[in-house]
Amino acid sequence: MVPLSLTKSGEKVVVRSICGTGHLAKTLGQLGIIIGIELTIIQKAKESVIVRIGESRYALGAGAASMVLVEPRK
Amino acid sequence: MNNTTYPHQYLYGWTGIVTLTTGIAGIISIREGAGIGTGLFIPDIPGGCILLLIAALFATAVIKGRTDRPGWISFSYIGALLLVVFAGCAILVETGNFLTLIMEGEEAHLLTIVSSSFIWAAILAIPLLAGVSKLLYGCSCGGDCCE
Amino acid sequence: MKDIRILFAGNPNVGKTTLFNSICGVHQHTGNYPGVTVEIKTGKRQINGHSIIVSDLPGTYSLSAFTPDEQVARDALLSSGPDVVIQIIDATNIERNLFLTTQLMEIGLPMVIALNMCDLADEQGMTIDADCLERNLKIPVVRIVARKGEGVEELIKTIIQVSTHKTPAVHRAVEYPHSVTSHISEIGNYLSAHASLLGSLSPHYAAIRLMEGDEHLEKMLHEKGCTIPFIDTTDPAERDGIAEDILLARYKISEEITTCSVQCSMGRVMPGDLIDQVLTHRLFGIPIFLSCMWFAFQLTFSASNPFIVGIEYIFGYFTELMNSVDMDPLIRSFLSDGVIGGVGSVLVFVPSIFVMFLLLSILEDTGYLARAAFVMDRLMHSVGLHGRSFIPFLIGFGCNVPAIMATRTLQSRADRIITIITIPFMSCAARLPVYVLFAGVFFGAAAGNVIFFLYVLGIVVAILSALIFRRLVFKDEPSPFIMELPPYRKPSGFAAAVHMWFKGREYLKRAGLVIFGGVIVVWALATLPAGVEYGSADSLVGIIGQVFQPVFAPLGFNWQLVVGLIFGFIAKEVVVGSLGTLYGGEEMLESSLAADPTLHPIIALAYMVFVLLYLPCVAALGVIRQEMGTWKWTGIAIGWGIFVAYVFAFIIVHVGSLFIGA
Repeated sequence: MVPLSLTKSGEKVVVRSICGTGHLAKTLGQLGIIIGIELTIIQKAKESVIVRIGESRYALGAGAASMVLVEPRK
Repeated sequence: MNNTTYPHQYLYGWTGIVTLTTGIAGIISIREGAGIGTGLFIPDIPGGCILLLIAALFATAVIKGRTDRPGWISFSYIGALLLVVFAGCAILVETGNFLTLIMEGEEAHLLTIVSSSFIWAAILAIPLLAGVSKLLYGCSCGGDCCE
Repeated sequence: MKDIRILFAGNPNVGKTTLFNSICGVHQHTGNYPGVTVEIKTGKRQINGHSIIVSDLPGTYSLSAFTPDEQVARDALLSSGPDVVIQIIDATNIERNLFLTTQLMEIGLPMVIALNMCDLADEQGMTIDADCLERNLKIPVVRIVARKGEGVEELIKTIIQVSTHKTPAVHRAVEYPHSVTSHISEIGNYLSAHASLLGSLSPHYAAIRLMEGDEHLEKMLHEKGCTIPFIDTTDPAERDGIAEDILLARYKISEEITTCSVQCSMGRVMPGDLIDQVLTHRLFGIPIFLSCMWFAFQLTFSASNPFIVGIEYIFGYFTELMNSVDMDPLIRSFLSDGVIGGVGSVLVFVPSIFVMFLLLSILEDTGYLARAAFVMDRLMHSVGLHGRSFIPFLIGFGCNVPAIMATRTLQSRADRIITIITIPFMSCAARLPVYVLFAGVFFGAAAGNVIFFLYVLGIVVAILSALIFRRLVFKDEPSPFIMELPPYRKPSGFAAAVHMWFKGREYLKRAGLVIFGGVIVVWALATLPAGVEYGSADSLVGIIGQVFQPVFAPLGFNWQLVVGLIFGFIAKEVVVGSLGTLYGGEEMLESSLAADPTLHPIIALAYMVFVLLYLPCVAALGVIRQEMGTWKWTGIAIGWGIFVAYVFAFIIVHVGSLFIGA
């Protein structure tokens, strides 16, 4: 498992864990970034990422990206 | 991927030419701005820097294109799009300046409207934009260009 | 017939405001990025004897209400008791939108779903079975294309039909696992005994909200002295676990319904993704954004110039006409110095402002602005601002008032306060005339570059202020940046032109009322007391100017400039208007400024910088007070602005005079 901030552009990954609780975890949950969901990394700029879930694209800043732990899709 | 089997080798080659012309246009603009130049083009240092930026986009497209076709498509598409849009803006800006001079009764040359180096660089980029935008939308419709 | 009150709910950027405009026939601003609507807007439409009252809510992903704009939406849904709730769903992204549907259904209000952007879904090769959706949710679904007005009439018919139903609405229920339902009934039973506290909420629904972590409701019940079973007796970790189970149950039903009703070719590369790889590139992103801005400012200045010259001709013609007609000297002075001099010098800049609104609107429509926010996030984060603050900043270039309201999309109060303090440094359209005038007179061909420099300076000062407040006052990190990126769309020249017209018309109205009024006051003060030479140092305005002038003496401003600053508080346009009045009218303004021996380019630059930074106008001040909630922070925001403006103008005058060797 690695944080989303350490993935590479173009990778397809599966969310395995979301660190921390409180507002951030809930906000991610509302957007559909939940455990078991598959993400495509569209862009990596330093530690910020843009991910795609289905038809939605989200930009995550470094802080948010480091809290989402993922592993590559098999 | 081998370049010689490229189905779009001419378009790819054209990207290289556009890289050079855009870079040269940028350098000319900056030289004019610094006062050393032919006087044929409008001196414009910030504009020259923008041209160099676009040339860098094209260059990235050329380098990426050797191994990564979507990379070539995306970089050359954005480069050409920006260049053409900016050239349109440059024409409007110069037209505005020209009309202002005329209305204020000062001397103005109609040629200044087309003497921004953006325009000449952009004309060369139009075929690239047309070709690449087709490929870009081809990719999105599940075409084979990306695989 | 009775009134039908309906609410538009939905995720951000699904076209709620577009539909609102289309039904109510008004023009509210829309944009292709999330969070354009931050307050409730209400409109009315008469149809077949029914009068439909529509309220457009801010977009929200859920009813959890983390940000003020989401709270506004939630409060309206839960407490205003509408007749029908319309959820607008983006047809290209049904699954994500259904999450909110699962929450809305549980409120128990009659609902209609408007499936918007069906044309885009078709284009992307998606087949949507609306009937299947309708059967599964037990909610009527209407296909619409709000942008073109397709399906809107049918939607209205359905709304009327639903609102006249006598039976209470029964929607599909979310199936929660047993662990959740047992707690729901436990809390629900407890709340049934205290139903009077809940207002219009049903105990069952209130129980679900409490389990999902509705802090607002929980606090309210605690204040009334309730001890809620489970919520108050279990440790937070277990509560979080239950909240997650609820979340998963909602996603499960959303996924289930989507799979049965939508067929599309997933997993392809989208052109937007490829474009994003370049526009948000870690090296190219920021330079590309700066070049776009640079061209936007060049266009604002140069393309509008011929129109400005044209308007100047017209006013010059009127001045000559008046001089040739015989009339009372006082009336002549009023017309030529007051009306033409003051209002004319403001109207001259209308073309620049129209061009600027046009360009901002085109940029908004493409969807690029949200990318720009992402590109700028790292930069913004490193200076202590939230990436989302970037969009209020951009709006601020048009007008600071909506920009300050747009800070409602920020979650943390510290982020909001810092953003509000820094927004007034974003140079709004009303300040542009001052730059165009002074840069044009004192910097000639370099005017465009000087104006660009001023905008950049505003941004730099905003960054410095943010750094100072974040490091010294709040001492915490900005909250993490998460934002949805809208799809790219081709900008419509027509829509942008319409938007430009409405914005520009607002400006013209202001020029007509506030600015005209301000200019008349300046003219009257310049004429009184009777008998003095117009606008001279002996007139009232001259006395006011001279009283304050010593304060500005270190900056080299003469009293006329000081008068401009004082009246600029009413609206920044009045700065130029009052100078026009004092310097002998619109026609003469430029030449008299150039001829004034007390002015030179350095002072002109210092003056422009001072106008850029010093004080928001009355309207912006009111909004700052409203959004800050306290006079303390409002005062800090104002004091900081004046302080910074003075310091920067002082530095420019003194460093600048070293260079010209004055």
